[in-house]
Amino acid sequence: MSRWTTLWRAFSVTWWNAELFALYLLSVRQLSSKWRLIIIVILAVAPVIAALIQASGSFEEGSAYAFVDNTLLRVFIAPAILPFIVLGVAAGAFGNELEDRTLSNLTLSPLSRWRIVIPKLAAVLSISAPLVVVSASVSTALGLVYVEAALAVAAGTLLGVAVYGAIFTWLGLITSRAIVYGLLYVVFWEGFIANFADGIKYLSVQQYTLSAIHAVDSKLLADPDLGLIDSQTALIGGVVVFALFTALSVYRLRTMDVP
Amino acid sequence: MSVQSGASISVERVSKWFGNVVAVNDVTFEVGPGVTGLLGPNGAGKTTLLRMICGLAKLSEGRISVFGGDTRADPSLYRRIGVMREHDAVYESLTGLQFVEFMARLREVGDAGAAARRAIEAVNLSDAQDRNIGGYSRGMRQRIRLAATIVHGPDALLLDEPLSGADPRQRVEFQRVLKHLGEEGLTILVSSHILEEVEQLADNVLLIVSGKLAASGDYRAIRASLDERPYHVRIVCDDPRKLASGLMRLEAVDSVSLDRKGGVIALSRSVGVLNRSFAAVARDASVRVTLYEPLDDSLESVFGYLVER
Repeated sequence: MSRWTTLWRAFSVTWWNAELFALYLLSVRQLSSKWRLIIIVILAVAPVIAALIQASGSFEEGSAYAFVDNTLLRVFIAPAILPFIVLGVAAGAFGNELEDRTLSNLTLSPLSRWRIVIPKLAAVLSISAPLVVVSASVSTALGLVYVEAALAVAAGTLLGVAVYGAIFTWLGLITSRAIVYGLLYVVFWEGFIANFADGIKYLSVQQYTLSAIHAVDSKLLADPDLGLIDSQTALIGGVVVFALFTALSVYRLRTMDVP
Repeated sequence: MSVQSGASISVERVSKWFGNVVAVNDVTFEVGPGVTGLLGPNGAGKTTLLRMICGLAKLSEGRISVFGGDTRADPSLYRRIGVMREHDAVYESLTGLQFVEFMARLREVGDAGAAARRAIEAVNLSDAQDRNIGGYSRGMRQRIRLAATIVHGPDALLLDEPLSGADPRQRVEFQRVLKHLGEEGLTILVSSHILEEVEQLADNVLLIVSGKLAASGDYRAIRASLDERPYHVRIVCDDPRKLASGLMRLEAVDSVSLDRKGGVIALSRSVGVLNRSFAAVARDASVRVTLYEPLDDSLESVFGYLVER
């Protein structure tokens, strides 16, 4: 038996076994309600339509880059479509359970709390990541007509989905108004404060996303005036924020009074 | 009261407050195998107490141990505990079988499917197990929740108002299942605000009023002390003075007065005797009684009396 097979079996037994898979499937089912899916699909389609309109005109490389950089990535995807889709999904991961009081079904089980959080987070990412990544990369490919740019955007938005997913999943666990506070956070912190205060950039998921895109394809977001943080910092920052908010969710689940 | 070792559930000097409101106040008791009733009026603190015992709510003060451990610190204890909450916390889009099987998987049961079918059979719901829970009646929901509570073969059950909303036939069925489980040696703590409900389920009772433990022990002893309490009865008849004079001759009657509307108010410490004798008194006095109305029959007044003693 190869070392990888042994490792995988150990992983699947201790980390990802029947109860976690059952919880993951139930969470996917809960988060796939008709209206939620309709809203996030509409959001996901918006940048594709914008790119189609742009692509229907004559192609000039300069204006194509300007469109992808300045309109698609910096106006549509990174500050709006990506966080809004993830917020719409992640806020319900624990939020729905708190609202209909089914969270106790999970916490009254012998699963350690992180084994409840991980399947929930996996369900959030399973639903929001394909939509965001496909929407962002397809619209980029339509705007620029080359695959590398689409892959770069896919990688960057994947990082963004993961980090926002951890933040909004935690938010859904601490307040019943996760959507409202999430929107305020996206608009004021990510959209306003992080763009004007230099130090805050290092605590901005939007910056992590854009910087990761630029790191994979340096032709995208190449304008030095954008003042993006360096890619290494973005990656480390993304991982740290993801781990921090995942840990906060576990801590919250362990210490809260479950309604 | 000090807590002896060996009990399945030990509650020691436990308090819980929300801001300035004290929900549970310095409560101590222990529960062993068999069915124990947690009795008290609405708002007495029963649900808060159960929530603390099963680890859903933090304690403000005190200590709770279930099978020697703390459920909030050690989730593995949930392999030995089944909790059925008052709220209807089910996943409506799942079938009964899917729900119970899911709960079995969460509780790390080996063959979750087989365990789920057994538990559903124990609550007589096999016929409806493949229907969505969303289409279940209230009684069926109660039973599928009980199946989900017992699916992992727990040693202790904590049940919060499990009979609320069930019709009389379902109540009898539910009581049968619980009694059977109690006889098998499970530790069952079941809360209710209905005296008669607890009487039929449990021999041991914990009586909680206004967040305090008012009485505990054998149900019959508590019931007897309830019967000894001062008890006001209002009787309306066509000749109040004649009836009052007849009632005064009864040993069970402490005092008699007339109210402004012409009713007779009798105070008794042997309400059972008064209930049985008053009709004979009325007949002997040749008065026609149109109303016999207990004035202190609310649960709050019954429980309040026990707290004041």
